[in-house]
Amino acid sequence: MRIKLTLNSKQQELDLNGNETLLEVIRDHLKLTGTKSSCDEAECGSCTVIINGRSALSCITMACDCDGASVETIEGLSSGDELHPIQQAFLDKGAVQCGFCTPGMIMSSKALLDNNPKPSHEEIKRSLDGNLCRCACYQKIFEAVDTAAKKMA
Amino acid sequence: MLYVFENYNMLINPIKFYRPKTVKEAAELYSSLESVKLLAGGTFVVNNLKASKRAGRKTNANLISLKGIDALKGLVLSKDVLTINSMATITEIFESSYLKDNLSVLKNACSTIGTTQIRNMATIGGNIACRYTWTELPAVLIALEATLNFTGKNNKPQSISAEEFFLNSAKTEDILTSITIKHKPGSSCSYQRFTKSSAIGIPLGALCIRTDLRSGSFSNTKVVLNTTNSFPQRDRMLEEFLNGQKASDGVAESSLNNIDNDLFEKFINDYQKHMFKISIKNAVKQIIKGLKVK
Ligand SMILES: Cc1cc2nc3c(=O)[nH]c(=O)nc-3n(C[C@H](O)[C@H](O)[C@H](O)COP(=O)(O)OP(=O)(O)OC[C@H]3O[C@@H](n4cnc5c(N)ncnc54)[C@H](O)[C@@H]3O)c2cc1C
Repeated sequence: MRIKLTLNSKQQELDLNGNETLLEVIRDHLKLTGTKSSCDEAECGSCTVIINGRSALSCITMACDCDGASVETIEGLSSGDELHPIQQAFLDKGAVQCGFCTPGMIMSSKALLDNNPKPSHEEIKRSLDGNLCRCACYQKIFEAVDTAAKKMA
Repeated sequence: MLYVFENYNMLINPIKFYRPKTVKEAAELYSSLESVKLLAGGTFVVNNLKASKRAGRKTNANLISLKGIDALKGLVLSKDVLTINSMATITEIFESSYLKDNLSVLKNACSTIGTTQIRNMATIGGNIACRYTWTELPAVLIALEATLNFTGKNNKPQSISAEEFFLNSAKTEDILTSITIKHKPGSSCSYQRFTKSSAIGIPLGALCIRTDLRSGSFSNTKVVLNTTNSFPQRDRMLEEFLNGQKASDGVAESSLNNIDNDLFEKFINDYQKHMFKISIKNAVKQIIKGLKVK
């Protein structure tokens, strides 16, 4: 099945078999390995990407279902050497330990700030409720999102 | 540039993917294909396809995605009837400005489902049509006297009440197209759910009460229990008790002496039983408090 999608603002045409998940396509085929594969059963959020403006789990998204969609991955955030304000805030606030959950955390945060530029602390917490951090950096992550929101305002 | 994918060791068995653009096309495909599965948000289906492959089980040969069908998307309020199309996501329902009065209980129920990503992907259609005993919207829809609208494999529309859908295992072969609910300004509702911990988790039990308190007493009350190990059911004993009761603080406490014990015993452990009693009291109190605020 042939599909067209916009991946990180670029048009892509894919000829798929039908059984690929979006995660398999972006990591294994397009080699965009920033998006992580972890639990692979919709529990941890490390495979989070943004589909049509909303955070979504690429491990349970069928790639064929993305025909016509706009998909954003962590690779689409920085421009050249310049990090996205959310990425910069994660660095500045030390919101990263092992870093495995970070791309998913950042994509969920971006989806939040794109839709709600001035979120409350509760709204930040809620929008990250599907992203697990085994290093338990949550407090610093929430601070980083808050800092990024203020910077982007 | 066109990327062509080789079918190497994927997480899902080979499957033929269909993405119809109309309900008619979907219904025709659904009736003509063997070993076929409908795909909505995929939060159950895709996980199941992967789990089945891991376990070495055979999986469906054909998958029909409903995502390309515009007619199945969104919510529409027309006069006093809210139509929620089956591909409306939990997030879309939660964010809808139509959820007022009795319908606001849907907002409440949607707010606690899964995680942000699950709410963005999961649809109301999938929540109902999956027929898992523990999903949360069925109890709310029964309490709201919702109607489920289907298109059969023969492309014929048909409607049944949410209550009948679960009681009689009806409509297992059809495409759920929409859910219609009457907007009743005088109605008060409460939805209570309890989980193992305050973290994200599927419910261990839930309860929805809807009633009309405009006269100062409970009337036309519906009490729907979700014990999570069988489909949601009405507690008619409690309904009978509540109807006619004045909206006073004592009603919450005396409700506990009027629950249907056969239903109550479906909760398998003491924690569930304890939390269920608390939920009943909280639901009745919330409804009465809502009346006082007004
Ligand atoms: C991590 C996680 C947490 C969750 N937490 C909760 C929770 O707290 N509360 C809760 O209630 N649920 C929860 N769920 C379940 C979730 O709500 C349901 O998975 C979701 O609503 C199903 O919708 P879907 O669109 O993803 O369905 P799908 O997975 O696409 O489909 C589910 C089933 O319904 C059938 N189907 C779908 N649409 C139709 C249709 N229109 N007509 C006929 N058949 C159809 C499919 O063939 C399939 O059998 C959770 C799921 C996950 C993965």
